[in-house]
Amino acid sequence: MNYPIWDLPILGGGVLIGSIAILHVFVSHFAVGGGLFLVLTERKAYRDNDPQLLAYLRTHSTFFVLVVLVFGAVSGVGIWWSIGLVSPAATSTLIHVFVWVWAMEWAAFFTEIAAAFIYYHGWDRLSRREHLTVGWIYFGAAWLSLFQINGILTFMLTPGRWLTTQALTDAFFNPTMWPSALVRTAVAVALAGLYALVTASIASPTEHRERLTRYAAKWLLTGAVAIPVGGVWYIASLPPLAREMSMGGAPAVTIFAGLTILFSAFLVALVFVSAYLYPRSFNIGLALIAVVIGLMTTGVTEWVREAVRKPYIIYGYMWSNSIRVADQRALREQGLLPRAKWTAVSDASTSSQLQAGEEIFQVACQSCHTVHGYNGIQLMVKGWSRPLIRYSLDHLDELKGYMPPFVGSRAEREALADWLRSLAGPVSASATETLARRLRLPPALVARLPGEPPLGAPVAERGTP
Amino acid sequence: MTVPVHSVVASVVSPLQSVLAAIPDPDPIPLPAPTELLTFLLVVTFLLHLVPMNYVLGGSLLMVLSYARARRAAGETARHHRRLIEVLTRAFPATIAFTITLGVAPLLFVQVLYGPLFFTSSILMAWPWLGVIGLLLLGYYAAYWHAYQHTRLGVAASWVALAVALAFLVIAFLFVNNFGLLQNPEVWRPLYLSDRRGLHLYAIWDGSVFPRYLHFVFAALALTGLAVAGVAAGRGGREPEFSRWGMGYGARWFIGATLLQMGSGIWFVARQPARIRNALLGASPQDTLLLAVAVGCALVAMGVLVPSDRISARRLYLASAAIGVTVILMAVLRQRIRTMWLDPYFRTEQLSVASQWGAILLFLILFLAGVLLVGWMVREFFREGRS
Repeated sequence: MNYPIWDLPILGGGVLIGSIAILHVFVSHFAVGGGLFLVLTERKAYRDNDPQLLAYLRTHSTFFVLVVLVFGAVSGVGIWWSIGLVSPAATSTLIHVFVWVWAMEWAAFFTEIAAAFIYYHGWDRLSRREHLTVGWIYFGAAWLSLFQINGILTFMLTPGRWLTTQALTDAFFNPTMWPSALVRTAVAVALAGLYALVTASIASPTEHRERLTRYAAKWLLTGAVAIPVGGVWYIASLPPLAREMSMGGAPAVTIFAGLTILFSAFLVALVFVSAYLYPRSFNIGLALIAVVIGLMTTGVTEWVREAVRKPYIIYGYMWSNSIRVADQRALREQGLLPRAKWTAVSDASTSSQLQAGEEIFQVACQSCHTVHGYNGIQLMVKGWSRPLIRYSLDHLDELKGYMPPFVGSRAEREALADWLRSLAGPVSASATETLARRLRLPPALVARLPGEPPLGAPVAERGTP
Repeated sequence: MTVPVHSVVASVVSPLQSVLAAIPDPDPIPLPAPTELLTFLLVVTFLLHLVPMNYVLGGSLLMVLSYARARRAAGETARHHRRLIEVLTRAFPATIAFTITLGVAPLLFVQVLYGPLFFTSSILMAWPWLGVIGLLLLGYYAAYWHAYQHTRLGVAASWVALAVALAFLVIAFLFVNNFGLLQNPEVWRPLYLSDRRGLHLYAIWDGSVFPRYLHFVFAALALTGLAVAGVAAGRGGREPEFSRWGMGYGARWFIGATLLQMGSGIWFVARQPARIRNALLGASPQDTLLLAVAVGCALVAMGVLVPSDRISARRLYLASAAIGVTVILMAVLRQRIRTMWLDPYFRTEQLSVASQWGAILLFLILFLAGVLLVGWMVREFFREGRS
């Protein structure tokens, strides 16, 4: 509400960030693990005096540069662009807490990029030793960059002692920082194997291809063994609500968490059987299928990681709608609109109720909901009676653990309820009863909320001026 | 909730109070370093970004031009232009990478110092601003494609080069738009309330955006001209004819574009609000001096390279040093002009500060380590006798 809200119909900001971020995660972890793969495989090729393996590495390094340097770097910038547009307040918080961590990450970033270029163009110009050293510099810088960004990301879910101390060390070395760094490192190793399967699958001659395929599969399987170890540690370090949400508390989140495990297991099984046990039958088609499953795994995992942070964007500090927890009391007393800088109306009691309601929706709800599209509010309140809407607004955080409380004034609550009611269409008794059941409210309670006709009776549109 | 566009224009100049009310409150978390240090790093890292950025923008334009000339000109000239395309295209993958990498830091410092302004202006032009990412991917991959495949692409190569140039021209325009909008909070609220979908291109509302944009484009052409002359000078031993031609060609571009640069500069100053124009033209002695010395150095650099058909390496060094001073002073002046624009609305020195000295020190150590490592790698790569 401090910032203007970008009206992004149908899609919603979360989907935009998510789609850029998932692609970036899938490539940036490869950027780290792939570096280790290059340098260790190069060393192996020198030791075994294996010119075929070296030739493969040169091809693989072209692929690496095209994927990592271009798409990896640009999509990383893309995340930054999109979070600033969709969640400026949270981005501002992160920048204020972590500007020096980001600056350090930048130092790692330019070292990494320079090393990648010199490694790629240096196959014939540098001595073996120098070339390997440049490879290690690349990997060191890339991993450092992962480590630093990981500290910032985990801070959002588990800011830990920072909430009271405001100290940078507490923010960075937060409760999930180490387990998450372990998981991400393991993922990087696994992805290095996954991408290597693609280039290995088109290598020739056949014997060489088989050997490479099995070698790449080992990388993926090694990473895959380490992921659950870090994963269990990570889950154990989560806030209780977040853990609960991923394990039954919120059905969608639980389903996605289950999919993460399912997809990963399937990927491991596929690669183990087709690439490790029977590399002769492995081909580019299977490699691409594996890549797609890998991308899907990344997608659902990142989605769950984002979802379990609800109802916060920065746990315990800022709600998912960018309202600071510390401002909650003042907003409840004074209202959202008088303090919102970018609304056309500044007072719910004197303005048109519906317009005020829509403005309040933008300020308080639109960071997660669209009106008609993704997580669309119209479909959610379809058939709801006004008392039910009103009751929900009073108990958002109790009814749905992943939603923040509504923090506006009383008049604003009424205005929002009116606007939502105007979207909801005719009241449907079954919709209301179903919902009451899902919320574990006796339908009678919903019917008895004051000031409204009983359920099922036609309700005249209210609040339209 | 939609306000007709003409009323936006009418309400562009709103009373100060309502403009102030629209500026987002600074973050309650204090700045993690003194504003002077952050501003210094902003200007320094912006300067670092300018080096490859100018090459990417100017070089892609010169490349397109060389395609056109190579097609029309005959014999020797056409051959030189084709050779120039070879020379220019090879550097694109690395220079684009470093334009992005070195651009990250100034953007970080802008966000920490001017977050309330930067996030707002970005949201007002959200879609075009997001378009930067798409265009960057397009221009970057096209540049790779051109660099590695242009001999095989035939005629299509010139179209790929054109796509690269257009992508970067548009990106530059979007940046100038955003940073112009950032420093003009007066227009924000009316623009936002007229349309909240993030589709505003600010240049339409402000006469200073176009000259500012041209100022950047001409600078890029001028500095790339100088770079071409420099690269050509280094090829004297192996390709004496191309070297001679390239030095003259680059120097002429440098001089011509710098003249245009001065024209766009005068236009830019004329389009500034009166208080800023006056400050630059005498009312603020230090800003006037900055401007005068910067322009003086540019004149020196041009003078050194006339006549442009007998360039020596020494004269190139001298011109580069002089124009280097101009670029540095202009970057400082740009920051001063931004401060002046924002003076009635937003002052960074009023932000609260709680410095994280330990982290600052650690950053400096890592930065130094990075520079040393990169220096070592580059030295090994270019060591005598390696090709």
